[in-house]
Amino acid sequence: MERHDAIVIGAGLNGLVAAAYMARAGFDVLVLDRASAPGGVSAAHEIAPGFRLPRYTLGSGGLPPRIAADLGLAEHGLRFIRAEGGVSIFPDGSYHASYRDGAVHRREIARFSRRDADAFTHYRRDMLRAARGLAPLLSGPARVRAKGLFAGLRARLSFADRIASIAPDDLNDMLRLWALPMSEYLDTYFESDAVKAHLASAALIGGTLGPCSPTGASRLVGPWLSETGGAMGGAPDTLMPYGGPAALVDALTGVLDANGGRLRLEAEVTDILSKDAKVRGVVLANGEEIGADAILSGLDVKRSFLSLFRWKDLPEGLVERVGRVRMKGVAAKVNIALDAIPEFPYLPEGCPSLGGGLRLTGHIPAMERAFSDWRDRMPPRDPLIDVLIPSLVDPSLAPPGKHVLSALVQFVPETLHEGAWSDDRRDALRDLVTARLAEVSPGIETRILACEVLLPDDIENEIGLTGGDLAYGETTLDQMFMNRPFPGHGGASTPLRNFYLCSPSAHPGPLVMGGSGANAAAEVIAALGGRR
Amino acid sequence: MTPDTAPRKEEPTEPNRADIDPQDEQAPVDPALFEEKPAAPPFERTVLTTPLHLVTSLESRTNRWTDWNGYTVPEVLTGLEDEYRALRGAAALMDVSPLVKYRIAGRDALAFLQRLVTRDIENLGVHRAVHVVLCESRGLVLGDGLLFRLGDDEYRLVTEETHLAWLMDSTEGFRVRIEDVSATLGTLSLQGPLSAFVLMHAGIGDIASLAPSAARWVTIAGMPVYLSRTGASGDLGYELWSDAEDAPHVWRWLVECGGPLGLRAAGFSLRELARLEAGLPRAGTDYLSAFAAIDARDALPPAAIWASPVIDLDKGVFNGRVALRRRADEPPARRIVSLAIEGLEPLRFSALSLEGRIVGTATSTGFSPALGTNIAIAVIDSEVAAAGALLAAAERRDGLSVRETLASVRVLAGPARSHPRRLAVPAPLRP
Amino acid sequence: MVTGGTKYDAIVIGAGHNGLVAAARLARTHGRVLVLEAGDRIGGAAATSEIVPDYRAPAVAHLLEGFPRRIERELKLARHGLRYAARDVPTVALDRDGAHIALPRNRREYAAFSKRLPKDAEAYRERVALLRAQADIIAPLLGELPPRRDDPNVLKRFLRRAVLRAEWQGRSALRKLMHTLPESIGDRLDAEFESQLLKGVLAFDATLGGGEGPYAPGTSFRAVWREAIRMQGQGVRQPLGGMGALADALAAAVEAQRGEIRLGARAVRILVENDAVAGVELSDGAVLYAPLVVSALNPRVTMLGLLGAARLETEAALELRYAAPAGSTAKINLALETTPVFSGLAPDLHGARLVVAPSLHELDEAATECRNGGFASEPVMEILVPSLADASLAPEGHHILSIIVHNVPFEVEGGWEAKRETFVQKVVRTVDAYAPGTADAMIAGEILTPPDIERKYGLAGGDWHQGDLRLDRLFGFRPSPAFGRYETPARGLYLCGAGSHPGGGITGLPGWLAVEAIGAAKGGE
Repeated sequence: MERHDAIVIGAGLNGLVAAAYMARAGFDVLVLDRASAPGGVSAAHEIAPGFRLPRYTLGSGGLPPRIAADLGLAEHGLRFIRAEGGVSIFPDGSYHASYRDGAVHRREIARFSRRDADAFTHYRRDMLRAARGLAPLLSGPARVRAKGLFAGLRARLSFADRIASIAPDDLNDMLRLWALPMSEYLDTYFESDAVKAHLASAALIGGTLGPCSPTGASRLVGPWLSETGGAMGGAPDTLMPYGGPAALVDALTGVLDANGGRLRLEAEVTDILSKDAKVRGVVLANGEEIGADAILSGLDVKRSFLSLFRWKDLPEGLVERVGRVRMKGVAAKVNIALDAIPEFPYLPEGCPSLGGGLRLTGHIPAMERAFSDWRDRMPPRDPLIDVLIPSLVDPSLAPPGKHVLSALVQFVPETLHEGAWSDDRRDALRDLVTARLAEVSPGIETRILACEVLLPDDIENEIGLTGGDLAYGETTLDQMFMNRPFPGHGGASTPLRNFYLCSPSAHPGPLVMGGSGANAAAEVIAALGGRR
Repeated sequence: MTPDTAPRKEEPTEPNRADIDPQDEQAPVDPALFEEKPAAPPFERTVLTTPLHLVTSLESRTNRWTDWNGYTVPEVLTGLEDEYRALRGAAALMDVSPLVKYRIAGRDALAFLQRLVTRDIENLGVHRAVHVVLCESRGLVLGDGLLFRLGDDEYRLVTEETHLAWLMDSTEGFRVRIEDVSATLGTLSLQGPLSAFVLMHAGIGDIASLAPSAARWVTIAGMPVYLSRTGASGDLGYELWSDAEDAPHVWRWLVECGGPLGLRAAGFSLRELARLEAGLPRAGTDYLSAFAAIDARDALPPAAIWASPVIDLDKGVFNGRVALRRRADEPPARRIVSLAIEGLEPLRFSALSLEGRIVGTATSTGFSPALGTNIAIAVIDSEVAAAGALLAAAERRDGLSVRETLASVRVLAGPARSHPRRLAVPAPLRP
Repeated sequence: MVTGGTKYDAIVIGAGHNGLVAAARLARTHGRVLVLEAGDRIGGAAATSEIVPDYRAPAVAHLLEGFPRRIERELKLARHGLRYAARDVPTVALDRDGAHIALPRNRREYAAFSKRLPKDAEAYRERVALLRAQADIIAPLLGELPPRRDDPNVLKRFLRRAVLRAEWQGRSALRKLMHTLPESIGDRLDAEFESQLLKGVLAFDATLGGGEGPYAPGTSFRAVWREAIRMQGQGVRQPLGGMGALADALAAAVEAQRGEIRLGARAVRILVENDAVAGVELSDGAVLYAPLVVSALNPRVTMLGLLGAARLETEAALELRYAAPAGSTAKINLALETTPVFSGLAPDLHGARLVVAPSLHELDEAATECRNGGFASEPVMEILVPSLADASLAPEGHHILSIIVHNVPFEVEGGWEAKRETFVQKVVRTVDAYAPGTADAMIAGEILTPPDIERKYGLAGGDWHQGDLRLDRLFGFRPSPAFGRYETPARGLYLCGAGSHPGGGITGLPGWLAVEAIGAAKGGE
């Protein structure tokens, strides 16, 4: 039987990050993917010849510089583009842009409220303080299992002491951030509805909470987590890999290759061989068996356990625990090829923020309505649409003069209360999105060369992501940190020996791109005894 | 909504807060009244200039400009040494319009300000100014500024940074109105030993009798000007506050009258050098507002910034009182000091080290022609303030190569320069 | 100081149960105490109202859940007339088809329960055990003063105690408790139970008063907190003579210590001299002097209204902006000329807390409706027939229905004036569906909408539950960090209402602990 040090199931971004880390540490790594090209949700996709964009995700966001540096991705041709933080356009045609430069951003806010321009300084301080507090938690497992008698108790007591040593006012600030709904939290800083809506809409994308759901405020920290968040005194910027996420995948496979790792495509894993809660190998669809000291799954937590194992091989209660993990589709993806540059008459000419994305959103009550509709499983009436035209900052993605447009439609239910999505409903959604786009960019509808709509269900069917949940599990706080993938199990290791999760179903999840892969690799390397 | 019918250019609609008479007790109190229209969005505006831009640009021989609070102002007009000589030997005239100015008026203006600042301003007379410090509830500094009492219930707060959110958040329970009047006022700063003499020549009678920190209305070139004996130069000096449209005329008249006496127009660099010599820390540069300090260590209590800040713990409730009382005897962990750094030519310094350990940062540096040495305002760990062996690091560039130099540092007991003339009454008309 | 005004040793503002508890305790140690009540009766949320002559109903709350024994004993409330008509009142989830579920209180009832719900019985036992265990970790901390904020060692000891209590229950207890903090009760119950009705009644208690649906994050912890509050008391009890009997007993305890209660006396200003409280000014201009003023009113009214924002630092005043959420509870009392009969309900359970919450879905819908300014067509509610256990409340053979309706918006679309009738009809129709004949037997009724409750009983937002329970407003951070230990920046002014730790509910604890804080401050001087 063929044997490797480690097998990674799924050549998605996190799987490749994990494999690259292990390969660089000298491990003999095999990556298996059932598709004919690597990348998973980030795989290269041509919507029309020459128009490239990620099929399922928006495509913004880059690996943390730490991971890029660790893996030497720059040597494999990876470059990042830094774009401004994006623009929100409201139904009345007004807009709010983000700028990296503090003075410029404050001037932008002052258009809505001079008071809020000052309040932003305060807000930015609190966001960055929270982000810095969170940073150490995001690399490494959320919960370190203590060894030795009373070690756990000692750790818990010192945790209590650490909390007690925080100044009461700071402690209260922290609690507020973790307990409050986004809308209430923003109310304590800002008076302008536009300013609040701009910040809230950015934080809502990809989550299953509404702007008025308790604990939602913590999502506001997300954009500030990047290591350069707001470094210039303004809003955090958007990082994008040059060439789109596909370039990231290319660089990662390059690293894997250069370090002796192997990538095997069209190799679907159908079973994992395990005995006494310990895994030892995988079985491919063609019946071939491959053994390994460690197996890392880049699939979501439900598929990893419920479809790769025979349930009777799993420790008691695990099936139920996995079953309880909530994965819900919350967004649809619309991909559009444009034969000319779209014009945005409401925005000032040359507004650089457009490069960082465009959100079509109402104020907070409208977002709450959209969220309510989603909870009631209604087809979206007035969804929050997050648009990225990556070819504005990266012309390599489309033929000269032409553009690709990626839209994530937030608050689209997986199934409707009336049943599955019908073709009419799907067409209605496409028309709604193009109509909303045409409102802010008149004439865009005449420039569409190709357009595809992917509902959560399509995403599940095509790549097997449960529920079409691009976050690999709801990101509410009871499913984050030490509760990700499931309560009390924050990290990549699982109740099965030698079996690890390297998908965003494990800590830190979608908070850090590639973070779950990097954490999983670190755990495996530590468990298998360092460098080989 | 179709794009055709949509309003093309939306101006964020400010509710019409029709002019509320601040003296009217019945009037609903609404602090958010601005005289200025919302600014044009970034990327649609050109250069933001002060009311004095045209006259200062006429004086510019160097074409060197800089950004101050978003305004484009001259960095140097003729030459820093030349301007400095005028400042210390005769008089220098500077455009300080980018300073932030708030008008605070209403029946409760005094009570509002008493709660806002750390010092007791109960006895601040009309047409008097005083230096005030704003703290938040943890006793950390948000900013400092000059507070003028313009009338019984009317004040003007002049600060380096904006504080509108804090001021407005603080209005609950007070009948007071806050207006940002920064853009409606042109402000000139006339500093130097001959500044009183220049004003006398400009036609202002009895200028010598104006006491330090006092102000009065005068007429210059036919324009009403609010003249105060204030300034950030550590020497005799005046500041002139007038309507934006009047300010250029005042400038021209002063240049005309003062030119023969040695007056020079000067740029922002001279103002920085003067305040550096006078040992005056600048908000946002030498210390950070507690609301802007990402690293909690960077938020400082008043005692860390000023050698003897005025804090009247017994005047009643004010922001920061509880915290300041609690730490009244506690020396701050870091403090701001003036330094002299040896060296005969101007250099930029940042890190300050003691025995190889970085113990502080020089936040403002400059070459003091008066002392013939580099000086700096720096924030350093308190326990090393008395140590002698501090070193400052600088890079010395030579073509494409760079050499790191270390210079020895002396902590100054007080400001590098402060002339008794500044406080003399009557103000000396001749040096 | 002006002389001539009457002098007291302490003045308590507000004669709700918390104010009265504080007054009664103060009167024993602090000399002459005066209680000021703006309304024309005492009791606040713990009052009895007369629907029509001879029909008396609990005005707002109808059961005591967390009233501590030590308060009852130390204030000698039994001697002052407090009796109970029923102890350990059971909870029944009403089923539309008559297959009601009585939540078991003992082994015998559990047998019946597991017969009714064979699949969920084991899970229910586990849940109750876990809930009790988790509540037990925090329960002792609720009944004492929150830690001082100026000494990190005090907070350290406080947290260490919680850790050690959790440790006692096993290594993962603390983690499990932390996990409930952001969790929603709906997700939790969906994972554990099958019966919609059971899930409905369990979620009902966790969401009561908060205006949030069962799927709102944080509601799981609210169930723990509510359990911990219940642990302060002695089981669910019904005072004899209605809830007003509790207030009467407390008032008697105050008066027995030469305390004075003045009705119709509205405080308009708290006077301060040299940072210390000097007295209270009433709406009629009278000034009463006392070196100690304890306010049971809501913190916002006390600090911003009576004391004035000008006497607070900016941030302390700003923090009071986060007032309690607008309440979402209405109260309906009905007088019936017959004995209500709930179809399918055993006769001995007619005196129970009858909960109408058919499923999580319906709770969720009701919460959504409420947020949008409407009310559900079949409102979610809790019904009590207090006259079954306490015959003094109605003429013989006649009865009282006391109904607490959940998820009723504070501001209803179209205005309460227009919607009041429709709302009552919906409630009556729902009750009628479970107890046929109720509508016909109705001879009188009264309704209190959330704004009515706020206006009439001075309850901010019109709610008396733990609805404003929020993670950042617990212990020493309640109602806000600046006033966390009942103290205020004005020396001698204390808060003692439900706005302070441990919060709402008829527990008397905020009043009790406020006096403890006064004693601690004195001792510390």
